[in-house]
Amino acid sequence: MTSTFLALAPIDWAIVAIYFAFVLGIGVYLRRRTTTCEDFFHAGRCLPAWVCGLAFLSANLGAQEVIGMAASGAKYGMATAHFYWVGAIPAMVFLALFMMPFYYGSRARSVPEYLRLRFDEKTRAFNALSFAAMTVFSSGISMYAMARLIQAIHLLDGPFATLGLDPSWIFHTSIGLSAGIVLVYIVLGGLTSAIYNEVIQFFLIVAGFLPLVWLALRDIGGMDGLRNALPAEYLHTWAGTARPETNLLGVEWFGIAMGLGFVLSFGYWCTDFLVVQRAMAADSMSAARRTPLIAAFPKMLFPFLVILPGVIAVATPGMIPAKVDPQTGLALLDVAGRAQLDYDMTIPAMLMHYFPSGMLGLGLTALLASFMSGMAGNVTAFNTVWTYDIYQTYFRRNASDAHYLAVGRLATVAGIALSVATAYLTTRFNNIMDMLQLVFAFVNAPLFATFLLGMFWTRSTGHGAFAGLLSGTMAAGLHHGLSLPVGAGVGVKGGWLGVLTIYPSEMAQNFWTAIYAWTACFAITIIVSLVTRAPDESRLVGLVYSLTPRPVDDSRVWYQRPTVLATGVLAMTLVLNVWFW
Amino acid sequence: MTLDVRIPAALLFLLLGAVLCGYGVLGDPVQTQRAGGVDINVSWGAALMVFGAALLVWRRGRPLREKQAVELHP
Repeated sequence: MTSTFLALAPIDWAIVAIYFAFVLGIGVYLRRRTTTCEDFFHAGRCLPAWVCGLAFLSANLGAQEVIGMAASGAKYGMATAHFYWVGAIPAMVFLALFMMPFYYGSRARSVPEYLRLRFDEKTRAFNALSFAAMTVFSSGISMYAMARLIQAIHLLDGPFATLGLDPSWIFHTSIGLSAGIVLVYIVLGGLTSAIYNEVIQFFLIVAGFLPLVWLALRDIGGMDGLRNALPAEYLHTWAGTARPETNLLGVEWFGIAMGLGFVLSFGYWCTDFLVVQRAMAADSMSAARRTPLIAAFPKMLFPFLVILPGVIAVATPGMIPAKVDPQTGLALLDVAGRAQLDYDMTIPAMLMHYFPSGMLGLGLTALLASFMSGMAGNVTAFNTVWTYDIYQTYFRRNASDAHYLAVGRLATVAGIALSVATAYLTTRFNNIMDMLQLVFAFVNAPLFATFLLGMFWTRSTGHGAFAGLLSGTMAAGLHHGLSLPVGAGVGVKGGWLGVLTIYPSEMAQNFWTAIYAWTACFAITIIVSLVTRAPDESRLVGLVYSLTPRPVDDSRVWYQRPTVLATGVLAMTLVLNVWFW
Repeated sequence: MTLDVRIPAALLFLLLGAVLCGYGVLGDPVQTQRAGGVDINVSWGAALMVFGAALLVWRRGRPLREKQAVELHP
């Protein structure tokens, strides 16, 4: 616990209230227009590319984005931007150019359904079940993180004292309110409501954090002032990555490029239905392909919005509060005798420092919006996968559209109830949550190999894909069980099968776990495919690259062409990498 | 015809901008000290109002294509 108090004036509460009124209002308004499954699960497939693109970006802003990226910025400096410039942009471009034609063109209603069309039922089931569990888990973690943050910044202490309520209920109230709001707007308006709110959340996040960065940067004397106030490695991304010991991340360039830039990033951006669902809601094939590219422009600038504040904070003495022992009230010290900093408090402390009442309300609203967009994104992905890939496949096959619409609404309620349960489970058993997160990482790491072979190699088979996924997951587990980050104890951090390798950082271990998982899945899928019966090629038209006509570019003007946008995105990303070399 | 997200977004930012601006003009001048002497409520509030208005102008210039909604409910 820290002593950061976010003291709000009535004007700040008014701003938060205006935002929540709009969120709920959009849901209520869309209720009348949400009458079919197509409306509820796919937003009618009628949205313009820029709407889908901004929603694509917001849906990915989970609990970790704003708070976590600023914390990493304070800890590791601008090198955190690797998660954007290496770990997101190239994969988003690949999704747009090479994979969207199959997702959108095959008319699959979800990513697991694509696997059913391309491979077989067991591959789909494996992906659908692990994905459904993961979405519920992530939205629960978002909810938990938000409630803990509200507690830590003492946001509701004032109102609770005024109303004479028991302060121990602040956590429950925070969980209940966030769950209730997300529930209302998704049950009413489905994916359209989620996407519209995500667009507004995107604007709000920019509106709330841009002035913060500006004020903080002005205060420290611009980029030159920042350079003078910090050791040089804080403002570099690639310099010093020849060896893991010579950079703040503790990873060498190969681990960054392969582990983060290839396996983890392509595995997430190109196969995760949470983001792909937004692109599938677009009104045409070319709009669907433009969606990730439109998202890529703001995405590559986000480091300046969410990482730079952390870097500035660490350069400003006393900005980041120290961790305090809850029993003694004294600052916690590390082994060297320096105060341990509570990096998660970076953003709240900066909001409090730079914003007067009024702007403070806007900044807080932006923070709350970032948590809610992540939660809602997971819930809409969950209700779709549950309804189509699990319920319609295993429970009731040929029911009416109205029936599945009702199931989707019920699944939303159930998904949120399960998220709440996850949030409470996290408060009780922190280790179980760490372990679950690990299992999901094992399941996800090999996924991109399956999609890559499925989309580009006609010969890959269902048995091959399934065997590859299983062995990739096992390889991830095995690698994790045999390695350990330096200074960590055997257990959830690894080494539970015996320690063969010690990595210089947890991040290096994660990247290498992913690399092993991907390689195992890739190899085993090929081997098993070659010894099983080849798939019937006529069935694969529209699902595999070589058997599908190239998508016709129906863009109205040259700058809307996916290839033109992609070139622009990659060129700008290159410039950013060179600028912060 | 479905709802164009630019309308609620524009209304939200016009309202938030007006509230911030009004508060900045009428409110306690001591507050601006925190932002290093910049009257951030007034200036950023005005910027948000401009953004809201720009969304409305954009929508007027390029409305959602009717086809998009018709295609969906034939």
